[in-house]
Amino acid sequence: MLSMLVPIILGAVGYLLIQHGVVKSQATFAGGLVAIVAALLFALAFTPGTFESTILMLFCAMATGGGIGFLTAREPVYAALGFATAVLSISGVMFMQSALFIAAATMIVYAGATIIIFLFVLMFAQQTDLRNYDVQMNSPILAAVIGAIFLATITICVTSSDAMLPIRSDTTRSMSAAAYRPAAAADPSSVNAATTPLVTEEGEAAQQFVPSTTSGLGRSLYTDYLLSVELAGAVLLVATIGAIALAQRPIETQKGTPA
Amino acid sequence: MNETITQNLLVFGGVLFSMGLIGFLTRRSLILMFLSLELMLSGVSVNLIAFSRHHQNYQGQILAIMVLTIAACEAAIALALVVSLYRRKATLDVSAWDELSETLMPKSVEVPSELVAAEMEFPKLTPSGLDPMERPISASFDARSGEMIEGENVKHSEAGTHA
Amino acid sequence: MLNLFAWMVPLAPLAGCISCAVLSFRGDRKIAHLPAIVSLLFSALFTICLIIFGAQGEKGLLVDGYRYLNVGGLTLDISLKVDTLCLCLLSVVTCISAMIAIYSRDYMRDDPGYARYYAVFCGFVFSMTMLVLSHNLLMLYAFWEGVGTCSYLLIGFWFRKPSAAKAATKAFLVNRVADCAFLLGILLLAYSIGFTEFASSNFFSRLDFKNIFEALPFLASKYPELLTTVGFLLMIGAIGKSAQFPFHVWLPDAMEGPTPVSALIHAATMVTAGVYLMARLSPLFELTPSVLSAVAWLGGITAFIGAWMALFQTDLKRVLAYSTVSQLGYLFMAIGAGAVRDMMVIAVVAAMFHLVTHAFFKALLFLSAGNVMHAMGDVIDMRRFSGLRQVLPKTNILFLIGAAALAGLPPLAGFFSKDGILAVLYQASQDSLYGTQFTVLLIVGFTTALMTAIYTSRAYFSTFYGVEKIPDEAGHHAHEATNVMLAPMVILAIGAVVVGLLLGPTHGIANYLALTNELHAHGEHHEEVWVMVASAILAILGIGIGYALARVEPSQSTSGAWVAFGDFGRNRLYIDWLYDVAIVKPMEWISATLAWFDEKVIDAFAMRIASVPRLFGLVGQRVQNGRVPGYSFITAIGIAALAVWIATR
Repeated sequence: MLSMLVPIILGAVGYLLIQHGVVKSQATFAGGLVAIVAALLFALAFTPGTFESTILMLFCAMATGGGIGFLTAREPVYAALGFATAVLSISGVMFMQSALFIAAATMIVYAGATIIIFLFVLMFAQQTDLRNYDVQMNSPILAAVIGAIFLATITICVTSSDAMLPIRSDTTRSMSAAAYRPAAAADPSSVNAATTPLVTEEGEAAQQFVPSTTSGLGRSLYTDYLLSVELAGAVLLVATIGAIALAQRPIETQKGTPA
Repeated sequence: MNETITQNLLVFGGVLFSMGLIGFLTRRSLILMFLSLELMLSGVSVNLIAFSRHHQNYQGQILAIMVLTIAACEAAIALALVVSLYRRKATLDVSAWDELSETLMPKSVEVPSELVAAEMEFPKLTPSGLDPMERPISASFDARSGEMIEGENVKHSEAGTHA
Repeated sequence: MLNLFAWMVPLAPLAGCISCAVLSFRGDRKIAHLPAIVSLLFSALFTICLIIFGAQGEKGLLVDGYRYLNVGGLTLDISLKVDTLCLCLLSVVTCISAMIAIYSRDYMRDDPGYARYYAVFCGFVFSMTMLVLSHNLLMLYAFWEGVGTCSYLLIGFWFRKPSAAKAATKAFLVNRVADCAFLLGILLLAYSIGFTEFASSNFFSRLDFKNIFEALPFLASKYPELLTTVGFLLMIGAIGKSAQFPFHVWLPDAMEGPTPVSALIHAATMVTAGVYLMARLSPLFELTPSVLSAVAWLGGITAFIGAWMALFQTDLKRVLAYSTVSQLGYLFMAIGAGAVRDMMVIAVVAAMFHLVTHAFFKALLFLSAGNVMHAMGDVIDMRRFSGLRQVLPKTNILFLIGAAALAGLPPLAGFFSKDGILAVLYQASQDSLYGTQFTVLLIVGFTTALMTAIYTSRAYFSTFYGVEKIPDEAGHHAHEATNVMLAPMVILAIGAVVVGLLLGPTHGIANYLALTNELHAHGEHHEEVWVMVASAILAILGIGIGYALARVEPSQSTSGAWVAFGDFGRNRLYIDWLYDVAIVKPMEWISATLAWFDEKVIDAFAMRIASVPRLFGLVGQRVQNGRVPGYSFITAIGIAALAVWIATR
């Protein structure tokens, strides 16, 4: 288990080396890049060697690279580009888990809407040259340590052999196609019975990965989680109004002072 | 193996979250702080998708949709706030708002100016409408602002200066 | 109805005090005298009614009042006891205070503290009347302090003047020292009464005069030393209030107050409270002749040194102040004569007689001095004015009457009362036990009478006779006093002339006082003609010497003894200096040391302890620097720590 910490530490060290503020020279920059790449390669060792998992690892590496670029960029626009890269990679990861809708939604909302808004505000508020707050970072070493500890804790918790990840078999609909027959022939009691456990005690014999579908997601959304949808719509409306109200110019009174 | 993939995905979500955390802690520009918040939220989404895949039901994905919705709302409102704050102090530095402090701590240490200025080496291009052969560009031309800086080897022409 | 009259006597001034206090918040200068004068006149009227209607009844009237305290088994009632001893002093107090209040209307007219003056004035009269009418020794003590407080407030009336503020503090503190002894005496008396069978469960009622007197024979037989100690302590209290040696130092400084205040408090009423105390407790003192002998000695010393110091003062009011000290010494000498067996009643009668007449002519003298001061633009130094006969004709006559009465010129009041005291002293000197003491005191009394006449006439002649010399501060002020000021003085002058004749030879006061329970027993009273003749001769002789001293300045080449005599007299016998060096300076040094200790050691220690939480706070304060990155770091550290903790469980 402790070997899991190696890529984490390598990654943190690499991040710190790439940081301009810590030690500024090309050697450290190169060393940092080497550390990041080494961390990613090391992490590759923990994946099962299938083709699917290698592609997954590729996407993860792209996301990590984009994230590191986001963290260490000095120009804000470059940071936004790093973020966009990370989001695209995340979307790719989600595609591979057959969460098609979520992947598309992530790409549209994050890389499409959020980054564009950020870039607009950057254009509005960013000065022409770099200011202190772009160049200087707040205690990167301490932040890297905290991040590393946190990540190490999560990693150890998730990958420890004590942690059993049970499968929940409850009344919510599963992704098996049998559950989404039209209602005519659907037997409510068969929903539960259609649930096939993926992982049995024996091991990997009875694995049946049932991909999810957008129609299934939609059906689940509008039947089981209808209230959440309505509430999400209400939240969006309120956020719209709030954003408009907050960003208004202050109303000038007669004396010219803001209200 | 499915379990391994699930574990990997969860670790990946953790990696994204930690990167977002480090970015939030170290960044001093308001916009980039919020951007790192978005990175954290996307890490959470990855976790949720991983669990959805693992449990073979749609719960995780639906929650991921909700997270996405809320993230979008939050981004909108956060940027409205950033705009308001920028209007107040004309800076995006988060350390500028420290009036609620208990102690009179000194302001953040300013970066020595050569660190900032040293990188600002942009290539000098001939401004359009001028013959590069006639008037060699000297270092006295400020390409970004488009103004002449008084120095040697500068000849003014009667044809009008560069607009 | 008599009960109502009895309560109205103190309560009318109280109402006047409260009204004037309310008016003083408005800074009133126009009508503040009305409630005061009206209430005091009412008080005097009711006193006269009480006298006329014979309120004292058979055994004195006990008028129930207000139950002040009822806690557990302790009850403290405020009731009034009316008998002829009370009424004698009460009539003096109320009538003279009413007269002086009328006088003050014009005298204090220009003062911004007009209403405050009248408020404290009436408060004083209230306290004094309640003191006189009290039925319980503890109640008397309470109002004893009350008159002390009002005296402090009135001496320090112009409190912005440093000398006045210091004089007021001095008066209060000297009285306080004496009152400590007084309180000890009271408590010791109450404690010792607990041994008798008259001890009730209520501690306070042990000190009712009635109970005290009932318990006395038992105490005298079983615990005579205890009784002597009690008497001694009570004597010290009386001495402090009545400005006897060694507590006399506050009275001359009390002249910093306005002149009507000096007239009222320090001539007629408050200083007589000590004499009243001794008269009231005469059954107790009768049983402790050693105390009374000490009283007589102190009185004699006081009379002599008072006259000595008065001879050499240049300030007219100071002359009168020392004269008061001297005359109070006479009173105490008289009371001390009660040491001789069976003479207590006569002694008390003689003392009360002199008290009454002294009140009249001393108040008159002070008010005349006030007239002079008012006319001379607040200058009272006798060296700066003279020959005011033409300028102040009426004051001249009034002062003359008062001075003659003080000197003891027959047939004015002072002659009869002083003669009464000398007669008592002579009679006491016939006694076998205390004979020599009282012979000495008789000689002292005669000498003091001579000196009294000398300084009185010197003061009078140097003020009103000789070359007319008016100081510059007078400006256009040098006019006679207004009628409002003169009318009460005329009444006092009539009293000074007539009261002696009315009460003395006719045994009026003796018979009246005999109606009091405790003063029943008549002693033998011998009329000694030679004493009267001798005192008259001394008075006339003294007036002549005083006239000579006023006209002719004593030449510089007098003998060393006379110069030393004068020097001592002028510097108040260096008693003040002695107190300053021996008591005040060490006290100041001790208090400075203790203050340093308190501030630098104890306070510093407490501050150090108090600053420890602040250090803790300072440590935590650095965390809150108001910057978002700092706070988010702390949050992140918390999250990481939480995660680690959850993981390692």
